[in-house]
Amino acid sequence: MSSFAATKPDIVAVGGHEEVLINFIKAAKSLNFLPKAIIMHYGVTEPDFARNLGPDAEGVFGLAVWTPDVSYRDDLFGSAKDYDTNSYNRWGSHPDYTEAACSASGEVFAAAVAKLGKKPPLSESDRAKLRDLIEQTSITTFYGPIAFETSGDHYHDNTKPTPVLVQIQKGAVVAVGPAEAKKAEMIYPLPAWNARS
Amino acid sequence: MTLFIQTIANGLLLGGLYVALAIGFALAFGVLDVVDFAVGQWVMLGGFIGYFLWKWTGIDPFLLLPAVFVLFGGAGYLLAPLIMRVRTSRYARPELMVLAFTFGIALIMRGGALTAWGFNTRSISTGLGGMTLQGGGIALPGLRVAAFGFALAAVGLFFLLLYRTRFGLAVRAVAQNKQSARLMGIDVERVSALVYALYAGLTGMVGVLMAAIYSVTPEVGVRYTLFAFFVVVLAGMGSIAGVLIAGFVLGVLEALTAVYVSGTLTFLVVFAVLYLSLILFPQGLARRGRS
Repeated sequence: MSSFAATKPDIVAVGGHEEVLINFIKAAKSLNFLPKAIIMHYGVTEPDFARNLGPDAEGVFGLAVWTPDVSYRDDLFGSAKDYDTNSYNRWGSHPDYTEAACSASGEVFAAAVAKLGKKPPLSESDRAKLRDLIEQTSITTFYGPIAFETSGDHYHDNTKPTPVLVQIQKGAVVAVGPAEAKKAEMIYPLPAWNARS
Repeated sequence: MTLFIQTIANGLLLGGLYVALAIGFALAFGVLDVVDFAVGQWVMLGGFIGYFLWKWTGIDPFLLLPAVFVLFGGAGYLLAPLIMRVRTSRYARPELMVLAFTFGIALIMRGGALTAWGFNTRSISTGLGGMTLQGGGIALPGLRVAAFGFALAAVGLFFLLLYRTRFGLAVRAVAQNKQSARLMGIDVERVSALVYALYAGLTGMVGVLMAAIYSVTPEVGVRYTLFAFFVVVLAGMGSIAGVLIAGFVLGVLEALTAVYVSGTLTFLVVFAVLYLSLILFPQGLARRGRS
């Protein structure tokens, strides 16, 4: 970090997961290195990030493809807000998009198996049919609409969700962009390390 | 130029911690003849216990270090007879069996930590975390300077113990020749257990510092085991003085590689250096170790 801090960048983008991201913030604080913005790869929305860093996490940008504020709903989990509340009551922390996506995967699988009309254990040919049915998925869940690409760079990716720019504000993950999705103004530039509560 | 000085400073600060990490390990090898594969896991456990003690009592982690030393020392003292039993067994190749045994201990520690505390990252914050000493274009993180000071103090006390006390004399006697030490009336088992306890206590304290500077998960142990091995092998297995040099060499080498070559190549460079040095001087840097 000493080497790129010396170049005095305005914006630093960090790739990695939780442990690396936490270490980055700690190192930046210990070197008194403060760019105007820090954008991090997935992991900012993990509850551990804000919990471990406390006020040091303030203002860090991240990306998410789902927040509890989206307006989608389904019959199993209810609305996104319901999912958030139930998850919090069950696990003691607010879910991020990875948790929501895992739950939604279960729904995709359940829908495909229901269409197949057979009960496990499945034969080899049934499993092949199941795979095709999953590929043809087109459902809406509390996580958003789900459909998988059948060709191109994003083959078999669910390209329906809209990525949202989030920021840690007062320990909470808040959507700050794009304009249609934002819930609060973004904090820019980052406040000084010792000027935070 | 400032960047170069900053890099050297970073490396030296880091090196101090590596010295503290490796010195107990080197002594354990010298006295007990045991290569403890679990060294990195002691660090990891130290980090976790430090974290939970800090969360539970709210006391600054630096003030908790003596408590961690006592806790880990106790654990080490209880574990040592088991290790000695394997090491002095009359069955085939006890020196290899103890390696496997400590590897097993490492697995239990890592698995136990994962089961008990999950995979989530834990990070300790100290008051010193926000302090930076700045001057002349160099920024020295307050926490790392304090950790460096602590590591040097611990190593200094260690040396005092080894060279200025009767207990230290006994330890050195056992390290030199167990049979003769026993004939001189030294209780070899008790000395070995105390040395292992010292080593576990010291390494546990280093763990708390690592959790404060970085963060801790059950997976970090392997990395620290690698570093401890590097330092001790470069120093020459059994050479305590060499550890001082080797620890700083590792720190500075890591820092220089990260800044001037590439962050991803640090391990490559570090182990290439180790490889070369083993070819050129197998006894290690201080030329006094056992090859």
